[in-house]
Formats: sequence, C-alpha cells, structure tokens
Amino acid sequence: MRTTEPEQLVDQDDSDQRIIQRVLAGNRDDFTMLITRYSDPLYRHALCMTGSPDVAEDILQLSFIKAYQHLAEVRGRFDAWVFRIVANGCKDWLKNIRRSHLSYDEDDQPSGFATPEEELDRTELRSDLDMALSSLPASLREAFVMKHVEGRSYEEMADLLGTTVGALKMRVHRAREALQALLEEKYA
Amino acid sequence: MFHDLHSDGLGDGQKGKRPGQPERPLADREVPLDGNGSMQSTAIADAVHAWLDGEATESEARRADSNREVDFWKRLDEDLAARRRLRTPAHLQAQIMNALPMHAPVVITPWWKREFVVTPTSAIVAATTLVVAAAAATAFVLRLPH
Repeated sequence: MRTTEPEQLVDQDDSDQRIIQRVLAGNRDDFTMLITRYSDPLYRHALCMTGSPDVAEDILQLSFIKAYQHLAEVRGRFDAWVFRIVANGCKDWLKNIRRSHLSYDEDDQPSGFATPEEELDRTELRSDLDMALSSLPASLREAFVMKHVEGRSYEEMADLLGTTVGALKMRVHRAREALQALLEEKYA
Repeated sequence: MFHDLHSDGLGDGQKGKRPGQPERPLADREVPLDGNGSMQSTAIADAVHAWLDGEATESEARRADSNREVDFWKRLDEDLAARRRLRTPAHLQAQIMNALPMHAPVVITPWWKREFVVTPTSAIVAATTLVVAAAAATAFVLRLPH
C-alpha cells in the first residue's frame, strides 16, 4: 500500500510552493504541473465518494478552478489544501443529492482479467461494493476510501481531515463492519 | 495488501456510541444517515482489523479463527486494488486548463501590508490635513465650558 515519506513531502511541498509563485507571477500554464501531480488521487477520492465519473470530473474541475482563483491564499501544503476543497465539494454534493446508485464505467481502464467469467465476477463485485459504499454515511465512506483506496496512513488522514487518529480508526472499523454485513453473504 | 508503514499503534478502545449518549448536532458538511440512522454491521475480530491496518500479518489474523473474514477481505481487495489504479480521464486536464481564468490569480494584500509611497503632493496634503484637524480640535477644546 502506498504511503508518502516525510522527506518526500517536504521536497514536494517546496516544489509546489515554487510552482505557486510562478503561477502568481503570471505563468498560468505552470498550474498544469499541480493538476498533473494531484489529479489522480483527487479523482479517485471524488469518484469513490460520489460513485459517478461525471460528477467526479465536475467536482475536480470546479475544485481546481477554485484553487487557482485563491492560490494566493494557500497556507501550508498545497496538496492538503486542494484535498480539502475536493473533499468539501464531495460532501456538499452528497448533502444535496440523494441518489440510489450510480456505478462508474471503466471503459478507458485496462482489464487484467483473462476470461469473460472473471470479468463478469469483477463487474458484479464492483457494482455490489459501489452499492454498499453508497449506503454508508459520508464520514465512514470518506474514511474507508482514504484508507483502502487512497492508501493513506491514519496520521495523514487526521492531518487532512482535522480530526484524531482514534476517531478515524473508529470510522474505518465501523465502515468495514458495515460493508462486511452488506456483502459477506454473497462473497464470504 | 493493506500494509501501512505509518501504523499508529493505538488500540481499538473507542468503538461505538455509549448507550444513553445524547445525539450530537451534525457538523458542517456532515451528511446525515439515511432513514432512522440505523446501519447493519458485523463485528470483525480485532486481529483482522489490525491486519487490515497493516499492524499484523495475515497469518496472525488467520490464527484468530477468522479465516472466513480474511478471505472475504482479500476478495474485496481485488476490487479495491482496481480502484487504486484508476487514473484521471485524459481529457480532464486540458478541460480544467481551458476553464481557468486567463489572468493570473489576484493577490489581495490587506491595506496595512500595502506599500505606502510618499510623493511631495501627498506629503503636503497629509501635512495640511493634519494641521487643519489639529486646529479644529484645539478650537473645539477651547470652546468647551470649564
């Protein structure tokens, strides 16, 4: 599972700050580097939180536009700041939209499964997990996605969400137990 | 799978809500639970949680008589692994760049941090204003009944 070393974070933060200064000085195109650097984990977060690729794209686009417009206000790490914009965008969307189920398609994702049966199993599991995730309260879903999809440590999650490691552990544990209750009959 | 190098080593002593604990108000941006707020759940052995958190090995989790749970989570991880590989759609970066304003982000400096340039004209205006204000204040004070 991916984790980020502290030294790497410091280097990356320095590099982010240099890019931000260039963008603020008028080099608009340099903002692409920040998008390239952070869009994948942010997209995964938005997609797993909303269950819809279109909504995830919209949230990501609006978040980066907001980040660009308020770039002069960045205090501390850019990645943590932009993550909070995206996470709040997802929560706002979830608050306003009550949906039953939306599954995302992975047409542009390579398939690593050899047989049609395996592919079918995979699609079914994905769909069931989507459904189960969408039934979780947003705070549990967010914690589960950050831990198991984004591969973040509890300390990193606590830093990003402004809460304690203990509270996040509890949320992840509760999310696992709820998901297992929903899926174990079929998959255990 | 699920290994986390940043394990915090905290126990699981904070589970659930105490009976009789009053409902707390929803925090900003918190999404309320569906319906009556109930959620089905199945207790998972602590050893399995520890394994999923990267704090124990798979064999330690299996030793806790949790083979079924371990197999279930390994199966689920097949899908989670696919989600971990998801990439941003190729067109999105260009789409975002096209949607950005053409001008540089506005740097708003508070007035007390702004550079103050003194020109001869502004110095004369400021000095005159100061003298007039001082004279007006003095005249007002002298007119007050003692």
